[in-house]
Amino acid sequence: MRYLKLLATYLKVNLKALAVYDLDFYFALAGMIIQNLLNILALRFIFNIVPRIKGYSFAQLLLTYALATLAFAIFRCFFINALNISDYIHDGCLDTILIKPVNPLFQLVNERVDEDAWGDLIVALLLLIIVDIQLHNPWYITVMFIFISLFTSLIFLGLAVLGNIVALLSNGLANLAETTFDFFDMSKYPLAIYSSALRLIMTFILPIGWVASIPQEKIAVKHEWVWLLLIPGACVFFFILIYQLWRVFLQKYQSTGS
Amino acid sequence: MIIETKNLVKRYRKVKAAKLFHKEYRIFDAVKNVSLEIHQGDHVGLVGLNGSGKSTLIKMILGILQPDGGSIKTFGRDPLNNRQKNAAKIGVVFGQRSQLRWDLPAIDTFKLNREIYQVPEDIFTKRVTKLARMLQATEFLTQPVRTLSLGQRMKAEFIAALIHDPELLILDEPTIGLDVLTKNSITQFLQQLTDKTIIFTSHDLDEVAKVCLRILILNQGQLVLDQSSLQLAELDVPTTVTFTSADKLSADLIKQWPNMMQLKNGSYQIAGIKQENLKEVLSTITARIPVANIEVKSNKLAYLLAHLKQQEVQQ
Repeated sequence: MRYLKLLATYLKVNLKALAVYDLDFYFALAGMIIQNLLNILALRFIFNIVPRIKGYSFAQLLLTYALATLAFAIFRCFFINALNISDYIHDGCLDTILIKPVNPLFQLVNERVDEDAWGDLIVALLLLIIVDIQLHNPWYITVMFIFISLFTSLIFLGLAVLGNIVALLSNGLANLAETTFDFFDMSKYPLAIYSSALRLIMTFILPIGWVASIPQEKIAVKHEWVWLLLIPGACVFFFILIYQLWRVFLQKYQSTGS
Repeated sequence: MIIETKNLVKRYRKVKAAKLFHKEYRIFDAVKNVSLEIHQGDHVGLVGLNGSGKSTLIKMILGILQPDGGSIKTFGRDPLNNRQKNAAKIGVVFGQRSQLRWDLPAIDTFKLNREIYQVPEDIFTKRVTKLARMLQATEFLTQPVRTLSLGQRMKAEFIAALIHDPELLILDEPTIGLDVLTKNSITQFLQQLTDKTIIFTSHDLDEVAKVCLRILILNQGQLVLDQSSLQLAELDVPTTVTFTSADKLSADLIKQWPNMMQLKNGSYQIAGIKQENLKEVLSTITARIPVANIEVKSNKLAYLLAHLKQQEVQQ
């Protein structure tokens, strides 16, 4: 309850900080929308040449794209600061977080929001609705997808934290956190297009298959409702694992001071 | 008792040489066998040169760093395992790091802290008004922090650290880079916080002595001095007088002060003047030489550090 109230306050402060950017904010919004349209256009061109890829139609691929973009946009809108963990440690700002009586990762994640990502969020939501209509999916499928995206965004949060921890432990591979963006690119496509080894990794080790491909297959195609629980469960489980790693990392930080 | 340490040790491993496949490390003690007690209401000045271990000690008190030896208790408990619990009773100002949101007015950070420390709304408003009045900060708290001067920002940092009325206030070089006027107003402000326990870190002994009744000096990780600032004030520290003059000095004057040196820029310097002789030296200079500029200085910290080291060697 206390953390919910705190979350609301953080949100209020962060939105106020966004308003500071005023014009810049709208340019970023427009930029992200254009970028997404170009991505979709490129996909459309491929489908002008081949009618189906591994049995997937354009509309179906668009659905995976929309699901991945929605989850990633939620991550970017609310959890983006997790990418900056290594910066906090390099300039010593983690100390200012550790001296407060609130969970450090919670504070870190809420310290900043991304002013660019709101365009993504709008595009992803619109796209999801349009594609679901095109595919003749009933309305509640769209609602289910939005519900699931709230959880699948945790996968990106986990990957961002993981990338930062590995970068810090390996001393200097600072750009490893950026791989979160590459994982996002991979999550946009159905698992079927990947080799079987990659498919295993994307299902059981770095769970990016759960972001869009698995929800699409299990819910939109097969209507297996149990996955409405399984998918959020898997996301939360992955995040808890990463959170334990983060705690180990924090202990190491406290013993070495670097 | 607020803080108690016994033979506290913190070691760092520093890279001595990095080769392709392995690194050579050098172990270095940042804090060596520090034992001290800090009681409720103490205003303690923690003084030392850069790298003397002040910040490391502070971090162990806060539970951010794990000690490598000895014991430490903050509010009677292990600070590392009770970090978040203790944090509710501690306020910290880091001179080098800001806790304020850059893009927003300071008041928004205060509101965030209000939620973090769960301060009731009416108490919060009263407290901010009072602190702002004491620091003459009322008019700039609604301006974005990025538009503030360093002095204004530091005042806002002090308010942010005191929102939850902490029992213990830790100041880690809070006056770094500030002008004299701001320093003075912050010093005055701190003098009024009589009900709080304060740990004030700085490398400026005189400044700390204005706020703190007790001075601790750290040198290369060791606690070399723990005395009241009154005793320190009475300490006879040799003074250095530097002056410039357009005229040449007469021969008998030069003879009178055999340890006088002429510096490269042409000014004269007499070092090591004892307190009791200072008046005489100064009156001689002003009476006999047409002085263009004169400066009287005594660096107590440098003297103490050199002096204390000698004592150790003798022991």
